[in-house]
Parts: sequence; C-alpha cells; structure tokens
Amino acid sequence: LTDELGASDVDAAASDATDALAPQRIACPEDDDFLAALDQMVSESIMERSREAVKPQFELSAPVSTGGPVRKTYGDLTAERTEADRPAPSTVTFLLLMRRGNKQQHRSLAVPDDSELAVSLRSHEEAERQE
Amino acid sequence: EEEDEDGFYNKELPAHACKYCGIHDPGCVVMCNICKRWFCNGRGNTSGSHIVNHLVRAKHKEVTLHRDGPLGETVLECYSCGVRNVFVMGFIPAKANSVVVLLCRQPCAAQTALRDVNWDPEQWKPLILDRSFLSWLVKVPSEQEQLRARQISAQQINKLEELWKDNVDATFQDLEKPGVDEDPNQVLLRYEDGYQSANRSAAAAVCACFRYEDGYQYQNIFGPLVKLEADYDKKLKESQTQDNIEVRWDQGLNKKTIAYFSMAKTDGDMRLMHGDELRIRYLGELHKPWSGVGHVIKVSDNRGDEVGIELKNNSGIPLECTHNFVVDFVWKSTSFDRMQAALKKFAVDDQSVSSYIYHRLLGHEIDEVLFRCHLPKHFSAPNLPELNRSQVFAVKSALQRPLSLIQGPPGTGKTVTSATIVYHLVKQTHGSVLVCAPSNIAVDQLTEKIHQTGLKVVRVCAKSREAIDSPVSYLALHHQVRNLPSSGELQKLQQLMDEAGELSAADEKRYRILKKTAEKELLEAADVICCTCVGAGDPRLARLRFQSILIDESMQATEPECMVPVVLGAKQLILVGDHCQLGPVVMCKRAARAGLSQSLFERLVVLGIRPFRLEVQYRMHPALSRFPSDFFYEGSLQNGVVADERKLKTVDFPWPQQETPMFFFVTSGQEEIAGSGTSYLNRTEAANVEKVVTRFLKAGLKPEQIGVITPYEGQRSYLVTTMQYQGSLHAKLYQEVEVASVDAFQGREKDVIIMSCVRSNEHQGIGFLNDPRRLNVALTRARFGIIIIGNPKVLSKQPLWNHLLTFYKEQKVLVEGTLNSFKESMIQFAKPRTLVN
Ligand SMILES: [Zn+2]
Ligand SMILES: [Zn+2]
Ligand SMILES: [Zn+2]
Repeated sequence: LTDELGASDVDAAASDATDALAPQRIACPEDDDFLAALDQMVSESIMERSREAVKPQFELSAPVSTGGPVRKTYGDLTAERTEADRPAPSTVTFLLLMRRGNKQQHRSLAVPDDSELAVSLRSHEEAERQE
Repeated sequence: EEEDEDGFYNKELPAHACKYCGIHDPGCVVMCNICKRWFCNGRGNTSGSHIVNHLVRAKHKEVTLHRDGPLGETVLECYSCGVRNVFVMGFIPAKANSVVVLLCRQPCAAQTALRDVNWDPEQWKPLILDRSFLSWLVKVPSEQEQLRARQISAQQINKLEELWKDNVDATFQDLEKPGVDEDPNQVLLRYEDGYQSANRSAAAAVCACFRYEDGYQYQNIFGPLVKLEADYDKKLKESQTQDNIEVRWDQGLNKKTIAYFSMAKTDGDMRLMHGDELRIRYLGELHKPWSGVGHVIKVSDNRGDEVGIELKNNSGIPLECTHNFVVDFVWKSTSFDRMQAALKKFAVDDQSVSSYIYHRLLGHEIDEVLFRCHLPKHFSAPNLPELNRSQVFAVKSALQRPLSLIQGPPGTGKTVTSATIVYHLVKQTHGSVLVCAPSNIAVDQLTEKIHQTGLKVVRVCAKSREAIDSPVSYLALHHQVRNLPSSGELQKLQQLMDEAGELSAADEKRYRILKKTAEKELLEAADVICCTCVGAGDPRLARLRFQSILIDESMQATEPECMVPVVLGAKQLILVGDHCQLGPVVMCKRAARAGLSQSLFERLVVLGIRPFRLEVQYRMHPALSRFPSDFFYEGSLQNGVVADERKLKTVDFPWPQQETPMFFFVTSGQEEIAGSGTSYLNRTEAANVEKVVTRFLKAGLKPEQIGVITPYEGQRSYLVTTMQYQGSLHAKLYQEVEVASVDAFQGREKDVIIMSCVRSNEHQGIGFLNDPRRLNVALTRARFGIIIIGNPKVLSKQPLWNHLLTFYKEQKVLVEGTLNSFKESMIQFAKPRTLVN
C-alpha cells in the first residue's frame, strides 16, 4: 500500500514537470460547492423523472444496418484533416440517430478511437470475427 | 505577450463566446437554452467544464449545440420522450454497429423493448461524464486554447453567476468593480474539533478570533452575517413560484379554509416547514382573480406529497375552482429581525445581560464566580428518573454558576438533566425561568419533561404554528388562554369566533384586549416559559425579564439565534448541547464560512470553558457505543445498559457475531449513476437495504422500530420506491419505515438503524460522510443494532472511516455475501489521506 502511494507521488511530480502550463484544478470552497450542487442536481433530476409518469412517445426503431462503420463521411474527413495537423487520436465514425419533428435522421459523429463507445464496438466486432 | 492575452478577450468576441473564458470555437461551445448564454466545454482551473459549471450554478438544464459544430444546430433531447434535461440523458449504442441514440435514463433507456431490437441499454453512458459533456459531442478546447483564454476562477464564476441574478447584462469586467468582492469579517480561522482535542495547546493560538472587544464589535461582526443569510434566504424563497397548481379545498375545525395541493420539488435547498407562509393566487377565467395568504400546516412526507395551508381569511375564496392556481412563498424577515435586535440590545443595553455574562460571552478574562445558594439535599426532581453521578454533578454545577455548559452525548439523559436543573432553578430563585431550544421538537420534548415535575409551564408558539398539533398543545399559551376560568367574556367571544369564523369589528377589538390581558396574566404566573430561541423575541415576551435561562440543543443554534433569549436579562445561563454532534444549518455558504455556522456552545468550549459532560449512556447496546465513545468522547462514555437489555430476543436475525449486533455489509455495487462522475443513487446498496429490512420485518420487528439513514435525497427516494415495489411484504409496511438523512435523525433514536452510504467517486472523496460530527450522529441513533452498507474501498480513504472500518474488521463484523451466508471480508483498505490541518 505504501508503494501504491509512492507511485502516485512520482506520477504527480512527472506530470507537474511536463504539463506545467496546462490548466489545473485550483481547489477552493466555491469549487467544492459546485461539486456538491452538481451532486444534488443529478439526484434531483433523476428523482423528478421517477416521480413523473413519463411515457416513451416515439418507438425506437431497430438500429440502421450500416454493414460496418460507414466510410467517407464528414467525420472521417475531419479525422483525416486533424491527423495531418497534429498526431490526434484517430476516430471512428458513428451514426447518431436523431429526430427532427417526426422525421428520423442520421448524423455522423467522429468518436475517438479510445473512447468507451469505440472500444466496446471494436471488441464486439472482434468477438464476432472469432466466432 | 501580455498584450496578446488582453487582445484575446478584449476584442469583439462573437455572441457564442464562452461567457466565462471567451473561447469561441463553435465545436467547443454550447448554448444554455434558458438564459441563451454560451459556455465552453473546458474546465480551466475548476473541476467541471464551464458549461456544466453554469448549468449547475444557475440551475438550468437544457442546451443547444452550435450550428457550425459537427452536428449543426441541435437541441439535445431524448429521442423517445423529448425530455431536455441534460442531467438525465445519455447515449446507448446499437449492439452490432456504429449507431448511437440519445435517450433519457428513465424511462426511455430502460424500456424492455430496446433489448429486442439490438440496442444495448446496458451500455448507457451519461451525456455529462466526469463533470463535462462527452468530448466527442462537444469538443474540449485544447490546453493551448484554454491557456490563452481568460483564466477565470471558481470564485469569479460564482460571483458572475450571482451578478447575473440581478443584472442579466453583467460581464466579467463588472467583477472588478468595488463592492462585489467584499467578504464579511471572518469570525474564525479554524477551531479545534472535538475529536482532535488531544492537542489542546493548538487552540491557544487561534483564540484571538473568538474574542471580541465589546458588544459593538460583536454586533459589527455578526450583524452582516445575519444579513447575508437573510438575503440568501429571501432570494431562495422568492424564486420558488409555481404555477398550474391543482387545489383541493377543505375546512378545518376552526372553520378556516384549508387548501391542499402538490408542488413540484425544485431546489433541494428549499425545505417547506410548518408555519411557513405561502400565497395562493387564482388568475381568473372561471372566477375573478383572487389571492390569499396562509400558513403551512402539512408538508410532504413519506406517505404523501400533499402540502396543506390554512388560509388566514375566508372571504372571496374561489372554492368552485380547482385548477390553474399559482403558489408563491412569502418571505418573512421576523427571525432575522429578532436576531439583529438581540445583537443590538447586547451592544447598547447594559441591562440585557449581567456584566459577568457580558464579559464571558465576549471571551474576556474574568475570575470565575460561584453563587452562594442553598443546594438541594436531593437532586432528582419529582416524577423524573433518579439522576446518576455525572448528572448530579452537572445539575449541582449549573445551579452554582452564572454560566455553564453541559455536554450531553447521545442517550445520556440530557433532557431529564435539563428539566431537573430548571426545577431547582425555580425552587431556588422563585422567579420564572426561560427555556429555549432551536427547534420546536426539542422545545416540546423539554416542555413535557418540565411539566412532569409539577411546575407551571407555558409553551409559547409562534402565531403561525398555532394550528399545528403537538404532544404539548395543552400547555401552549393560546390553548391555556381559551381555558382560563377567570374570563367568561373572552370565552364567549372565542366561542362566537369559532362558530362564525370571524367577529364584528367592535367584538374583535374587545376580544384582542381581553386576550392580551389573559396572556399577560398567564405568562406572569408561569414558573417556566418554553419557546424556540427565535420565539423568545416574540412581542408577548418583550416586557418580561428572565434571570435564569436554559438553552437546550444549543449547538444547533447559530450564535445570533442564541442571543435572542440571552438578552432578556440573563444572569444565569446554562447551555446544553454537544459540540460533537451536528451544528446549526446555515444556507448561505459565505456566511457559514465566515463563522455563522459555529455555535456559541462551540466557541465557548474553544475559549476554554469546560463543559460538564454527562457520561452514562442509556441508549445503545454496549457494542454499539464503543466506537463513538473512544473516538468522539475520549473513551469517557460509560454504559448504563447491559448487552442483555439490548438484545432483540424474539427476533431471529443472522448477525455475523451473535453477541455483536452490528456489521458492515460490504457492497461494491457498480456505480450506476455516473451522470456527472459521482454516484447519487446506488442500486446494489438499495437492494441490500431492502433485503435487510424485509428480514427484520419477517422476524417480527415493527416498521417504526427501523430507521434507514442515507446521505443523498436521490438514494432516499429510490430506497422508498425500491422497498415498496421490490420488497416481498405489503407495501404499507415499508411505508412506515422511516428513511431520512442523518440530520433528520439528530436528537432521536430507533431500535435498529440501517445506513446506506451511497459511495461517491474517487475524485471527490465521500462528501458529506467525512464530517465527523455527522458520522457520530449516524452511529449513535440505534438502540439494538446497526448495519452499515457501503464500499470500504472508497470509504477507507477517509481517515475517520478507515478507523471505523478497522474497528469493524477487528470485531469480525466486516462481512460480504448474502444474508444467509455471510463471510468475513478480506478486502484491503486504501491508505487514508492524512488529516489536513
Ligand atoms: Zn443558463
Ligand atoms: Zn469557457
Ligand atoms: Zn426519454
């Protein structure tokens, strides 16, 4: 356990050196108040929902069959462009299902490769491939 | 370089620039739908992104994405039900391809139909994660961009949000104007906590902050704090208007009209209380516009959300209408005015308290004095239990001294001791004694005990609370006036009013005069007058003077609140309390930090006035009192009950150690609500609470014997529903089980306590649970048994909890598994962070 603490101390020191300029959290009572208020906001929002008798109004249809990730979309293009500028993490393009009035729409959305969403999709695909 | 920085935010910024820091990359900003201001998704030097900071502080909940961002102009809403509250929304992905949809957690993401159509609701991820919007939906500005932008601190954000409440056009520049930045005089720097008292010498260095030159300085420091709190309270209450209210009309026994209705729960800060004043309005349509004012006589509770108000005036009420009413809070300055008046009186009127008390309260060095008095031979009072040694000592000391503190740890017979002191004070001084406490409940309890000794007691209630029933209603002044045998005329008029609802102008005048005389007569004849601290400022008591004053639960009163009774002539003052339990509730954080949340009791302890401690506890099973005694009371608490008297003999419950009716139920449930990077509701813990409660009920415990303590309102209401819908017994039974916060249980007890910790996340620590005084209160409510449900991995980071967990482990009552097969948990604790001084 002592080791664990030691290790994190080293981490902290290392990141201090490299990110000396990065904005860092400055602890203060106002920030603590914010954390507590956020707490309350979420729990009350959830509570409110469970009190109101809301009903889902629009049937959610089956996900669009895309046959694997869609290629050459806005998202892909953006991803490629940024990669040229700086070594940004590459992205996977997702389709976001949206509704404008009663019309269903899809918008493409670039999701970083290392986001949970992308990771779980990848592992799902890999699992399927193995089968 | 500096010019460059200035240039960044001084040049004309587009309308969609972050109102805090100026960042205006369209992919990084979001508009708040409510106030139409834009904010970025960067954190700067705070722990949440700017947009989340704003939404939380302004209590706004809906947003729109920028038209030039990757998704175009988009109002974020649940695909299925259209709700726009960003705090309940999240994404679920499809199972097999890269499609996602935005849904609210409840009920849309929870629909069973989703499972059939290849959506994966288990993968629901909140829109706001780790206190910022998901970065793939709203970009986080790069570090470079953030550094170039305006560096705004959490304090400045806070002030800016405050400014916007008065002036919607305020900008960052307005923050620098004078007047905005004044903080109230700091009353204290730090004080010594009860549990840290080992190192007493440390206190000496800070004592200066606890002393005041004179009453004027004292008033100059506390006056502004009371004002701050009053302003905050006013703003909060007046912002609570609700419309579209449906009303059910009723009539009370006193012929007054009562309106019942349900209100949406809005802000958690705002708790409706008995006696609060509400205005109800009808805007017209089926009836001409009308408005009436009434006092709250029923608040929402476990059984129903309905609020009831008794209207002051019966005329013109649109009884035939039931819809489309509007309800506003009516803010009353009375209690704050009384505190200010008390502070002023203390400063200017040398008759307000004796000079000894004056100097002691200000923290001046002064020789102790003892009254020469005839101490009673027998210390116990008629009809009250015999006192134990430490109680006798406390009574004796209080009678001899002009100022004494009595510390009553949980279950040590504080009320009996107080009542006994009051009894002897009356016998000794032949004058009347004023008895106060901050809460009505505490006053009622004490009133009842004092009444048992045979003294003549009058309980003075606020006029707004006269309709509220209490166990000591028969002792209330307004009740006693009705039954005064000497005034036949008053009774006749009273009868007339009860029957008709009101009186003619002439009768009314006569009635008032007679009533006033009767009240005066009763108050003058009383041995003891009981009221809340603020109630002591009631005009009916204004002409009375009290030499002896006792304040119970005094650690729960703010200092100015305590002064309201004190300035009525105190020559002998007894403060009863326990600074190791919860202190006063102060809503305005700024006032709290500047010292308003410290009680007089606590300050006097820090000044070196030693409290007489009651040392024998009669509440808890000895196994339950050990940790609190060792940790909060230096091991001084003795047990006045033996294990056998606190055994639930007929109740078959699988305690891991039969002789030790307590255990820590290790529950490392997935943090399900990660909405903001914190957990507010823990379903696994809730399920375990339900199992434990059901087991107790099946074993024959009555629901009223069980109390469930939990820190978060979210978990509280979730627990109530979980038990009712998932418990295998009748829902009615679970309804009778009280589920509440620690604060709501202070001053009370239950046979069995179950505590659900609702662990918090790694970054934030465990929030409210690390207040030692709150933990002390939580641990000392149970008489027969206590069960703590939580995650030791997270809790053990906190030094205090680490001690508690280690204690449970040593007792072999840190267990995991199920109720039918507990086994000792071998979980490793985290290394606690050291106490920061
Ligand atoms: Zn807003
Ligand atoms: Zn910003
Ligand atoms: Zn929905």
